Formats: sequence, C-alpha cells, structure tokens
Amino acid sequence: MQRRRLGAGWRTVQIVVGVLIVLWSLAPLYWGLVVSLSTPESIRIYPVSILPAAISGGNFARLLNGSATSGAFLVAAGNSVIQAVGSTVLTLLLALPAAYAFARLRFRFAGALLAMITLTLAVPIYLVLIPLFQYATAIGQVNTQQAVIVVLASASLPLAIWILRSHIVSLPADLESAARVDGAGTATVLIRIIAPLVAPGLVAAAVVVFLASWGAFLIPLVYGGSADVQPLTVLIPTFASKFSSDLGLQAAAGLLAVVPPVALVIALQRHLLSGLLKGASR
Amino acid sequence: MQRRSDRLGLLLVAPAALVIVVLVLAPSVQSIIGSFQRYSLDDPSRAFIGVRNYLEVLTDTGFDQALLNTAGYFVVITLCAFVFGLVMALWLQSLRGWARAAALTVVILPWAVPGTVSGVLWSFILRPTGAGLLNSVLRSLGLIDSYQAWLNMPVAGIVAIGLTVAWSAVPLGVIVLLAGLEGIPQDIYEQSLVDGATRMKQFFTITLPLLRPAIAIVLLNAAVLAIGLFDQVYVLVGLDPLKVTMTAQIYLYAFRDFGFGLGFAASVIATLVTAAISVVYLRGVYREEEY
Repeated sequence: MQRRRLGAGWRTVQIVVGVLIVLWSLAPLYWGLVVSLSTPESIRIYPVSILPAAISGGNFARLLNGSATSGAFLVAAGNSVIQAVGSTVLTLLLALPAAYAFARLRFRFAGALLAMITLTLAVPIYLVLIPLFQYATAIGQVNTQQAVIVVLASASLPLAIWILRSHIVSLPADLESAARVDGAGTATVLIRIIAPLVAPGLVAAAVVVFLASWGAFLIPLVYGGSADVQPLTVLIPTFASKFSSDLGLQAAAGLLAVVPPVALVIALQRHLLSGLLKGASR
Repeated sequence: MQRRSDRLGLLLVAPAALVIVVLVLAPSVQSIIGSFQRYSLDDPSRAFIGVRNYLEVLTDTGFDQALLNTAGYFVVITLCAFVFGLVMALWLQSLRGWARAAALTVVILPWAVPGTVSGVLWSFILRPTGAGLLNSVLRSLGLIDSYQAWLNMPVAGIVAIGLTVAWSAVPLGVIVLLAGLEGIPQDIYEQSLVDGATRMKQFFTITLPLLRPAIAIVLLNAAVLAIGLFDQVYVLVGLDPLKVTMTAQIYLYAFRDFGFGLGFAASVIATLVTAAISVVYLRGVYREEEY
C-alpha cells in the first residue's frame, strides 16, 4: 500500500508521526547532552531551558584528564574496550569455523550439534550465572578480564553461529569447488574465499556481539566487579550516589560511554542492516 | 572419504561446541540440580530436599513482589515494542532514499546505548527536581501543578521504567518488522486495491496477518528482555522492593544472601516462565499465512 502516492491526509500523518518518532529516539541523548554541558546552577531552576544556558566542556574534561574520578573513569573505559573487543574477536574465531561446517559439510552428529546450539539461544544468562561464578571461583579467575571475556563470548556465540551460518548457506558453492579443484585446503578456503564473501555477515555478527558486550552489566558485575576490572557500565551506576548532585558529570560519563557503540552503528549502518536482515529472513 | 569429512566437520565445530557445553549446558544442568539441594553459605551440605527451595522462593514476599513487578514491566515493554515498533516500521517503509537511510539511523541509535547509560539518561528526564525535563514540560503545559516523583509511584513508576526499557528494545523490533514488511509481495496490495480495499482494510487483512512471524519474534524478544531485566531498573531506582525484577531477585539470593539453592530455584522458575511464554507465542502467533 505504501507504493501508492500518499494523499494529503496521510502526508500529514507521516510528518506528525515522524516528528514524534525522532523526538522519542533522540530526546534522552539530547537532554543528556544539555545536562552534560550545563553548569549545575542552570539546570536547577524551573522551567528548564531546552538549550544549554552556557556551554561548558568542563565535565568531559574532568573525566578525560582523570581529575574527577582519580583515573577510575579512564581505567573503566580501557576495560570496556578490552572486554568488548576481546569477546567479539573470540566469538567470531569460534563461530566462523563452526558456521562453515554446519552450512557446507556433512558430518556425523551435525544435526544434533546444530540443534544443541539452537537450543542454547534460549538459555538466559541468569540460569548459568551462579554455576559459572562457582567455576570461576574454583579456578581463581573471578575479577579477571579473561573471565568476563569468556562468559561474554559464550553468551553471544549461539547467535553469532546462527547469523554466519545463514550467510554462508546463501553463498554460491561453485567458488569453493573451483578452489578445491586447484588443491586448496579447508583452511585456505575458509580464510581466502569464505571470509571475504561472508564479510557482510561477519560485520553484522561483530557489531551485534560488540554492542551486547559493550552494554553488558550483569556479566561484568559478577565476574569482573572489582575496581581494576570493572567496565564503564558497572562504574557509571555508582556515580548516582558518589556524585549525586553532580548531574553534569553523570551525563558526561554516560555520553562518553555511548560514543564507541554509536559511532560503530552510524558508520556500519548499511552493512549492519543488510547483514542482519539476511540472517532474519532465513 | 565420509570419515575424513566427519573428522573435518567435528574439528571445525569442536571449539564452539566445547564452549557451549562447558559454559552454557553444564551450568544450566547444574542450576536445575542445585535447585533441589540445600545449598547456602552456612549449610553447603547439598542434601537433596525436593522442592523445598521452590516453595521457599514462591512464598517469599520479596520474590512474589518481584514476580508482580516483572509482570508489569512485561506488559508495558510488550505493548510498546509491538505498537511503537510497528508504527516506526510502517513510517520507515513510507520513506524513500536518503530520508529513509537517515531516519533508520535515528531509529536504531537507542539500540547502541548500554542499558545502564540509558537508565542514567532517562533519570534526567524523569527526576522530580531541577533537570527533570518531563516535569518541567508538563508543568509548563499546565498538566501538573508541581513536580512529581514518577519513579517512586507504584504503578506509574513501573510504566515509566518500562518505557525507558522499551526505548532500548524497540529498534531491534523495528528491524525485524521492517524486514517482514519488505517481504510482503507488492502484487497482493495491488490486487486488493482492484477489489476496492481501503488502506485500513489492507492493513488488517494483509499486512498484519502476513507479519505474524515477525510479530512473534518481536513479542518473544520483549518477553525475554522483560524477564531478564536488571540494569535499567537498578540504575533508576536501585533495589527498591516495589520495583525490583526477578533477575535482580536471583542476584540478591545468590550474591547478597549467598543462598545459592534459592537462587537456583528462582532462576529455574524465571526460565520456565520464559519457556512457557515462548511456546504460546510460537504456537499462537508464529504462523505463516498462505496467500
């Protein structure tokens, strides 16, 4: 029905709905920006000004030069990067070979193993939270980067395999057979032929895993809650009591934590959506 | 030849399968077994006690309240994910070219915002003092006389928190619904147009029925999210018993009270609730319509 030309009435609806949607999507980010740039006095009065009264980057500076939190913010930012990148790389390294095997090879137990992985898509993190904590305690790995990275990767792995498998299934098999006739081994086929062709799927899977890991709260809280390992998502909630009257600092910290994932989504939007939609349609 | 292919396949799958067995399946089984054992810090005997942990959890007023709160979040998040998601997907589909690309970026942005940060950002809008944007706007419009502490209200608080969670959850639903909309063959609409159908009629007789699989996925995602909810609520209202979620209650049993047995039982209950809802959705909603 959308291909028809819109009448004047529908045109109005389209514009009004559009304004509401944009407001809803951007208002929290915009208001956070206003609060972060305002001086504490200017946001205490009624009615609040929709524009920042006086723009000051002081809150961002205090976080980035470490003076507000004696460096804790920068440590947490580093931990966020280590954990999100680490779990993304680990997940893809585990998922790509498995996805290729499920998509292209016929082997014993393939069906059972794929069913097992599909089933684990439905396992929520809270069901495995306590036993994994006991494992980590038993081997002395609580409050380490690797514990957080491995648990994050295990949580994202089933979805990543699923996305990559649907992409590889849709690739033409001729290229691989041609390479095999030329004597290429499986490793060569996987790295030289499959990986480049399945790039949109890899990008989609990587972004999905990165966003989930960067935004994770419960996993780093339980397996990496100590000051030297905690990521931004665990540190920032503590600001509400530690800097309860310093809203500007809280806002600036939240916005800085949003920069990497938002930049990623904007930069890769096209690949991300085509990659995800292909996964969803199969 | 078959055996070589067996070996190769298993070799490629082995690392991922091992991780899933060790870090997902084994602990799941352990949680289920542990839910039938006495297991706490002062009594780690692991004696088999049948369903006593379940009875204790289900009669714990804290857990019952958490269950009720979670039901509230579930309703709000489900309604918003479905209605907002569908409206946004239809709006995006009505746009063309650069407008659509730009609008899509705007709509999916909240997905990139971590749950705790979303909680912080929304706390500025909902707060009862100074920077509370919502209060300021409502008062300027004359809709309220004085600033309201929305988050402290029993029902309005749940609705407000549910809305903030929906803000993060809607984008993924929009992607799924938009893919569903794009997958509906255009000639069905053209044929119904010839038959004299109005836009409204087309929506209810063509669009909604053909979107069923996508709608099922959106509803399922909302349910999983509502039941696993923790971070946004924690940031907005801390561990307020009238707002706390089931997942927060599992965390409290295990990591505040060190009652692992109760934590296991609560986590199995939450999983069973999710599984039951999934079955209802997949049976009742996820049906491919023939056309």
